[in-house]
Amino acid sequence: MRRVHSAPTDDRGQAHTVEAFIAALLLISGLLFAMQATAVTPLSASTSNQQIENQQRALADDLLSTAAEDGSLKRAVLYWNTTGSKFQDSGERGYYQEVGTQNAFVASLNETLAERRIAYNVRVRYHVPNSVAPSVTTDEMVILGQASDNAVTASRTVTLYDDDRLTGEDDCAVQSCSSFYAPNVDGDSRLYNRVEVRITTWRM
Amino acid sequence: MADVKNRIAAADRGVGDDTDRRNRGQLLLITALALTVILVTVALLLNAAIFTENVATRDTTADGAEAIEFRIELVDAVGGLIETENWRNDGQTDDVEAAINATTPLVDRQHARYGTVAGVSLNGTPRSGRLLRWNGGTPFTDDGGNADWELVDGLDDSRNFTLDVDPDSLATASAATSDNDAFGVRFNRSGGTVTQYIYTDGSGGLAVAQAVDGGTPHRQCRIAHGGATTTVDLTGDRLSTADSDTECFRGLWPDDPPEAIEFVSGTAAAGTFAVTVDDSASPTTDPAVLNEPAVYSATVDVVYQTPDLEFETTVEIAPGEPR
Repeated sequence: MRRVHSAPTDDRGQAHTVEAFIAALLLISGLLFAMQATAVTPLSASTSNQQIENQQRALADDLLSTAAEDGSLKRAVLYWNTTGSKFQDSGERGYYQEVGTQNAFVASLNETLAERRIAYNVRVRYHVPNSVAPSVTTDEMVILGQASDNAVTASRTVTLYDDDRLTGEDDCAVQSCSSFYAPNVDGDSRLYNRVEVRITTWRM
Repeated sequence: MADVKNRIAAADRGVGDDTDRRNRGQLLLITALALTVILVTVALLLNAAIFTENVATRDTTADGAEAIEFRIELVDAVGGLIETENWRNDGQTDDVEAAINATTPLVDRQHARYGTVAGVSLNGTPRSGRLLRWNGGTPFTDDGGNADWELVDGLDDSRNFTLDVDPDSLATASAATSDNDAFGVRFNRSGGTVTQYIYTDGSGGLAVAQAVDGGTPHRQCRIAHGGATTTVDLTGDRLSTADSDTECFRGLWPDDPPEAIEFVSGTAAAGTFAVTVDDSASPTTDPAVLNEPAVYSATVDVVYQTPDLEFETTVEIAPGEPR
């Protein structure tokens, strides 16, 4: 039904406003749709995330290699408190839950990753001997949170020998310490265990 | 302007405002859709460019880095086993053999989780040697008090030769005058000698100068010792204190493997030293030098297989061998 207006120009102003709103809505919807297809944040999944993941993996790999070379990785693995059965200077849970400088390796994680807004978890995997079904067990060393979908991992294995000494407040060789987390896998040789240190990193 | 014209034209044709509004609404819708398509296309093109760059710059050797890293890690592990056996235990090749054999299933199990076949196995038996360590007092003279004396003769291979010296005990000299009275380590080889003179330069530095075949010594490198014990790593080409390290890029080890090692002017230095030599060598029987059994090296076969890569190599592991 057609309405008759005494002043049609007033109504056209309203209509133009509504049109403008609808047009803006369409444009913004289009823009939002387009932005969903592009990498606009570090966490949004897209092809450019692969670049970030590659960079993070390289960073974590280099960090582990450096730590293995200067011995700080092994010292961190041996930084254990037998009394509390936990990593030395860690909280009640037995692992580090905050960015810190408890030992050289943790400090380097802090300097290299945390200061670049990269979160990380560090886990240690070691062998448990069993004549029937030997297994591999995982313990936490540093847990800063739940990894995102774009997290990457890097690992390095440290070999422990019977005579390696703990680097925390307890001064004892791993084979004679009462509650070191990793058991002796071979009592007939100097090999004690092989501990894989695995870093998971993601953007905060 | 188009709107005005349209309106005039519509008025002329007697068409009402409704038709005009509908036309404008359609136009806006089409424009918005067109803009959306353009933006999505631009986004797709950008992503395609990023993805292409990513693919183009990827490592072309599938899993090659992992295989090399695995090899490095095993060299470290077996090298550590050998040094643990030599320094903390009785230097028996059987012990190293047992430890490497114990490592094999652990490596296998660890990598199976990631869908990788990785293995390490002993190739032959570990090579035995001798660990020679300073057991005398100060300075570096033999038991008879001789300043110039031979440490070992008949060498085929030697590794991990380090001296921990007290800088206060060293002679003060310059590179050119170091061969007069500074302490030196002389490497005899077929056709000549290479001597590394170790001295302080009078300004807080410990320096090493090299003389070839009795010629004028030239300084190889220097470190600020700070009055503390300084390690001269002859096979590793490095000077170090507790606080700093200096890489000696000009080298502290002769280019040709030495056949004998001697000390000269032993009265001008005090400290300790250690060197691992192969089994064919004839070390001095002087009581100032402790001569103990040791493992010189172990040869292992390394295997690393993924669906894209097959990597196999044989490595002789002798930690601290000259570069």
